[in-house]
Amino acid sequence: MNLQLLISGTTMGIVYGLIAMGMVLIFRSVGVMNFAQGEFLMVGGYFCYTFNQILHLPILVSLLLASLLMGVVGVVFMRTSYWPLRKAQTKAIIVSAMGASIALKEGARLTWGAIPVSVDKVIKGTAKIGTATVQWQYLSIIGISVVLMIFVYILLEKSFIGHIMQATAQDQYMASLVGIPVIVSIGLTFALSAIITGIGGGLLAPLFFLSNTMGAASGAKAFAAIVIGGFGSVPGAIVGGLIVGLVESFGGAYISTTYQLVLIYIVLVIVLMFRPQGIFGERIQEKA
Amino acid sequence: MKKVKRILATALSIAMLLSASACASVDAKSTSTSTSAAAATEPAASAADTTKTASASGPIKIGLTTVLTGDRSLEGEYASNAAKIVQDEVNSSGGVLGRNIEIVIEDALGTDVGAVNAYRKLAADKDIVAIVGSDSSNDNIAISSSVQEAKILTTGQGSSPKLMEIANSNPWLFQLRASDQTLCAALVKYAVEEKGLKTFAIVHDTETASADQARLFTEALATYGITPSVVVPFTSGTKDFSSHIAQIQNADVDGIFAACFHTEAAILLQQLRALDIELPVFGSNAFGDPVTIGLAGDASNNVYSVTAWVPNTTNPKGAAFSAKYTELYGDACAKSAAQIYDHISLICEAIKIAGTTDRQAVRDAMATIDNYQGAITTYDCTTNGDCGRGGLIVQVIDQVPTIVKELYSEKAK
Repeated sequence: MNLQLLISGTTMGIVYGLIAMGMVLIFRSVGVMNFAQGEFLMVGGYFCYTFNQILHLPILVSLLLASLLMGVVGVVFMRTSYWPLRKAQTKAIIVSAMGASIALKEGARLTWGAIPVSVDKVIKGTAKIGTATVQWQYLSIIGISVVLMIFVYILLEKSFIGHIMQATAQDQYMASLVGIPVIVSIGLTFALSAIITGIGGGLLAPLFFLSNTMGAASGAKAFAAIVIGGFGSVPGAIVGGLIVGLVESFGGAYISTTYQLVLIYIVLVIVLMFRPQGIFGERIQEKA
Repeated sequence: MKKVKRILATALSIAMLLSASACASVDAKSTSTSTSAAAATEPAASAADTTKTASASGPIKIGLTTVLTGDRSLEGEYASNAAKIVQDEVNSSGGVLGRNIEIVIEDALGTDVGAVNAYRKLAADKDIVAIVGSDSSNDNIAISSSVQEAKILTTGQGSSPKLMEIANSNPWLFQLRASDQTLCAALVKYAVEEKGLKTFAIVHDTETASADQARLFTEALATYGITPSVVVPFTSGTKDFSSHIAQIQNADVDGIFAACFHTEAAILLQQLRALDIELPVFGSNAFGDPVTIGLAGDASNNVYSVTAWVPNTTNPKGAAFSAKYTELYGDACAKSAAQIYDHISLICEAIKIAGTTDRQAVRDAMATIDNYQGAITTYDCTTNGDCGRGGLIVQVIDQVPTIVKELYSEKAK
């Protein structure tokens, strides 16, 4: 039983980590939490559904095409919900993101309807790992997510584009002074964030089905993952996501299935009490 | 500047006085209206209050609150489609009292506050003769005091015993559905007496209707001296049931009773079968619904469900409606659609019997309807609660809900 819980907890944790990573990328870039991140998951899933179930393309091709479309969505989102308000107060941008979240949700309902739908699995069937029976889709999610995380790491740390994105995230003004096109850099960050979250939606769809309201709960858990892992830290987002997934899984089995979300937030509060900057976050103190 | 301020202040004061006097005249009108409406609720109803009578010309308006946006928008999609079908059907066969009907839809938003606001908006329209409440016992219970206040015939789609209790004490609210009390007891009887199972787990959503159904399963099992080996609740929107299934596995039971909505039902079934848990599942109506079966696929096979409706019903009226729905919209006809069809048809029948669109008369006419054959079942509205007389126990075979037992019960008290 414990192995079963470990695998399902890890899978869910990795997905929360993907969403959280997307939120952290945007936070690092523009300093604002994107409350429409859960809707990126949903829209990515629906794009995958369109290619896979309506146009009958293979699932991996559908995931790839959906991710390209999500890149466009990310850029459009940036231009409409963030860029016009970039000089306004932070709360204005947050409200704008919330509005975009509602628009995406209802837009999805008008486009694809309210009836939940599914897509093909990457690999069908189940596998036996020790005493645990695991769906191959869970293992696919873990595998593809790890590949994505490595890709993001290489992109950000080892590539020229990544350095530009990091420079813009650190100081937009200085970046513009040295000739970095800030709007392009921020656009790329939003696109990358939308892509990795959207792929998560396509991977989750065969297990948990797609509906226009699926983003909200995932977004809330991803936010908890960010706080636990440390605001602004990409590794923190991943570790935070894993912690959230495992608490949800083991807490549900051994403590209470009704209060899984409560357990997650209790862990969040405990982490904040003893390490307010999160596990990987940097403590920032003002000098007197 | 001072002069401008003075002029502005004077103008605002006059505007306030004018609006206050307008409100007073509306209040006086409302008071006199509600007074005469109150007088009209006496069993021997007097002449109709003309301010509450809909226009004598133009379409007869019937209100419908359903969930168009939010978590339960699935219901709204089916309901809106069904409303169009029944409206067209009634109007193309001459309408009601020589007039077309028009269904006016308001969004209940999937919350009880939304349901109340939507209901009040419809009830405030004096041209609306009757209202169909949304497909949620929670919502129907939330609007019940507004129904009493508005004094307009309202039909509730929920099935909870609590709603039945409220409907039986509210002359304006009719629960046009078999109560869960009847249906859950029938499913337990089937599992214990006909399937011979002895030990059970109950897994249920914590939202009100599902939690009520879980309680009813427990009470029905108690009549056989059986206590559930484990009860595993989960919150709406749960995706990963590993912890819940782990508890069920540990309990080592013969069967599982389950109560939840479509998406959770499908996910639960998929995850159970993926873990090679082939225990029979006896589920609430969502488990026999085409949406759940479509999502769960092969995992839905050998699942039993107690429900009022299946798309492949043997009821001729239901079969005709189901075929029409599928022809027009491509999807199998779900319960939410069939319910709207019956609710609106019953309201039209009440208007025909009343011979008028006066709200009191239509309400009184509804209470005389006994043995009305709808698309889903036969209706007895002589008391307000538990008006749907029939149900079905279905077994899903090759992803088709197959009727294994038809239920017809006396009204629950």
